[in-house]
Amino acid sequence: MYKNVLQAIEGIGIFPIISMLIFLAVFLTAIVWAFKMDKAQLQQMAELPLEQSNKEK
Amino acid sequence: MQSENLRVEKFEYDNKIVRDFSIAMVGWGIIGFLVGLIIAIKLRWPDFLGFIPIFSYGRLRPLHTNAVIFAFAGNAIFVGVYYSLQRLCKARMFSDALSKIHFWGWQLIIVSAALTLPLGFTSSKEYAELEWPIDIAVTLVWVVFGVNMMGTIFKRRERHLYVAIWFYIATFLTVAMLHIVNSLELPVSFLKSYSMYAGVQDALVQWWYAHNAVAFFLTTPFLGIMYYFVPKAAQRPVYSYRLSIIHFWALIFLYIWAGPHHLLYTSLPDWAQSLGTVFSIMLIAPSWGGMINGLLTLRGAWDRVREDPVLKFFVIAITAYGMSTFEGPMMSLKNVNAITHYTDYTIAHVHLGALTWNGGVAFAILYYIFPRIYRTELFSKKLANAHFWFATMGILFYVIPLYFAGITQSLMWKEFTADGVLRYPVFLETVTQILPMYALRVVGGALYIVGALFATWNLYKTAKSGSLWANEAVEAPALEKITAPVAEHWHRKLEGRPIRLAVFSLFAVLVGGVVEFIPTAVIKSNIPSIASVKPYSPLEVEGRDLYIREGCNNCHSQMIRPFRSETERYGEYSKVGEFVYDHPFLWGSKRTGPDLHRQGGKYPDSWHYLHMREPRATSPGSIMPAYTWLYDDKLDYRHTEGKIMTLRKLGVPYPDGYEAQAVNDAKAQAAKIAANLEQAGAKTSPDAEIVALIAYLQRLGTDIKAQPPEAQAEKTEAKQTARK
Repeated sequence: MYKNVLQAIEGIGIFPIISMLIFLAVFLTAIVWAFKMDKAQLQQMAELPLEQSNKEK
Repeated sequence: MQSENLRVEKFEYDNKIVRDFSIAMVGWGIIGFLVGLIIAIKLRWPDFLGFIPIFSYGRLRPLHTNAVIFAFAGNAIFVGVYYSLQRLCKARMFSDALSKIHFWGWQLIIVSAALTLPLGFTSSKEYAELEWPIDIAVTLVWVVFGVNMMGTIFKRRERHLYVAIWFYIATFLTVAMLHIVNSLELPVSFLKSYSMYAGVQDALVQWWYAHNAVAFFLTTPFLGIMYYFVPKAAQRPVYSYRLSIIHFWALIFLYIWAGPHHLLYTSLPDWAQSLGTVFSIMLIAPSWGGMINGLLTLRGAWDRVREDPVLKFFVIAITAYGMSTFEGPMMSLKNVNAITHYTDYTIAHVHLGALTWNGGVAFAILYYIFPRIYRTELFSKKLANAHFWFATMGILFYVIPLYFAGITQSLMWKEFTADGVLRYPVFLETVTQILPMYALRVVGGALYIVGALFATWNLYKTAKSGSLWANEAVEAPALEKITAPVAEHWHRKLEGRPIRLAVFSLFAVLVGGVVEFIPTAVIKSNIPSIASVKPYSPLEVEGRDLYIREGCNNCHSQMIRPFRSETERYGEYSKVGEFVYDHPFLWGSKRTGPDLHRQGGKYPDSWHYLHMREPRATSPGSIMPAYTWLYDDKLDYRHTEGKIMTLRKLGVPYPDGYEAQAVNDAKAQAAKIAANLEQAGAKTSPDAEIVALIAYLQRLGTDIKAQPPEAQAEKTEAKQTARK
């Protein structure tokens, strides 16, 4: 069905393919990046809001 | 050297600006909710505050949406950002002066919106109704906010940028881009302009904007706020920081593509519609990742959810976020959308999000912040809990009846008898059926407002019981000194990061918009032109502007979908080529009344004349408001010439010099309609506004019926050949 819809416009088929590839690239990069991150650094980042720079109630 | 490295700097957090935005948020919130309540009452009892132009439904509805989105949620964003950014950066806001300009500028914009919208100055584009001078002001103030935020980030004393800040940066950049692209318009006069885009392109840009306004104004900043305040309130770090990184990139990248799901089955090219659907479904993944991350942060702290109103509001807000972000993609499936679109189902969907997610987060952070910046305890936990229950019950009473109303009405629109005719051919029958649901909605809205009033009182008493810690003294080690020997290197990296992050984010959000928009804009075959479609006459242009002024598009669509149930009811489905001269497009998104695209010639002029003066005279039981002022007020021809010239600049093919005879042409057409009306027993001045509006309505959708002579000749020829 997807193809039929797209065939209505000549040459347009390449657009969704390009977009899918870009999407996959971004998504995979984010995943690889996230999993390659150092655990200690992640922990440190996660603790950021909890650091008390002042005596809070 | 060592001692210098550890030099501790003393500085102060600006709590006063946080307090100011909080007051603005609550004040505008209550006003926005009240306007919502008024229009909810009007939908059930249309004569409520009737006959007063500035209180008519079509003018108040944009005021309600703008107040709730930009005044209530907007100020809530600034409360959250100004509080958390200073603390995450261990730095005072970049500039107190910019903070003040931002605060007062934003409130001034809201005031100007509150004045212009009820007076009928509107661009008609949903959630972007403000006219061009205010659009420019919004841009300037937004830039002030951005500079203030980026400046704070650059002078921070914490090397790492916490994920909340990423969401804030993405919010700033994307909203700036959306606002500017969608607001491109050519002014006619001080408070009147025409959209640069026409028809399907205008629709695509508008819904790319509106969809992503939801994404980057009502979602990403609130997610940033969630990532800061939930760990704070739960006193434990976020469940998974890894997940939050994936959440961020996937969310901002995917969201931008999904805009066309607002235009399913319309004249938008099919490939763009399908793209919108596919990306909407994929959006479930990052959205739910974020919801899970928020809720699981509370692992081991669930006992405190029972006690702490802050956590209570966060839990219900995040849960509603999960529900809405599942519901949204479902509604963008074409077969589901065929049922839910144009109905109250959508209204229920957005209120689940707005009241629970945005409202919940907004009040949660106030309950968190107020005791801290006033150095006291919350005045009453009991009252906060009462607020929680009033809000929750209010939401249920609002949302559930409207889900019923939406589905019921849609099924009635689509029902055929065994003989193959519409079971409910009169649109009004499907409206009167759901009126009890509209009454229940009023109850829900009222409950929510009572809850908000409890919150106001509670926060006021909290503030009274303490004193504002306007400048919170803090100390933190200076960042630059830590890496003194390699200062250059670290410094560059430090400053490079937010910029790099900003560039990546901007790229992520640009790709989707570009891929969708460019083909529609440049490929001619995407907008097949129809030879018989001609520009509007000057009187029709004026009538169209009255249609925009009165906000008719808030309740009437001009887009007949290619379903048998719609072509039976309204006539031939809408073609993309019919809208090429529509600056702006007026497709609408909700059918509180019937579609008007094939309204032209359906009823005599006198029917419209009667109907708009006394809707219930022609249509007993109708909930349409009366527009009595259109009968007394004279049409203003002062800008007719300018309008023709502006439209020509935008590509509408009026002949050169036509503007000189435009007013005369308009008056001649008006005289003809007035004569028509007089014949039917409705004596009226040809200069009355109603005449122009009737001219426009009678033109709607008629062009494709008037085939050009050659085409007709071809047709007869073809027929003759067929006969032979």
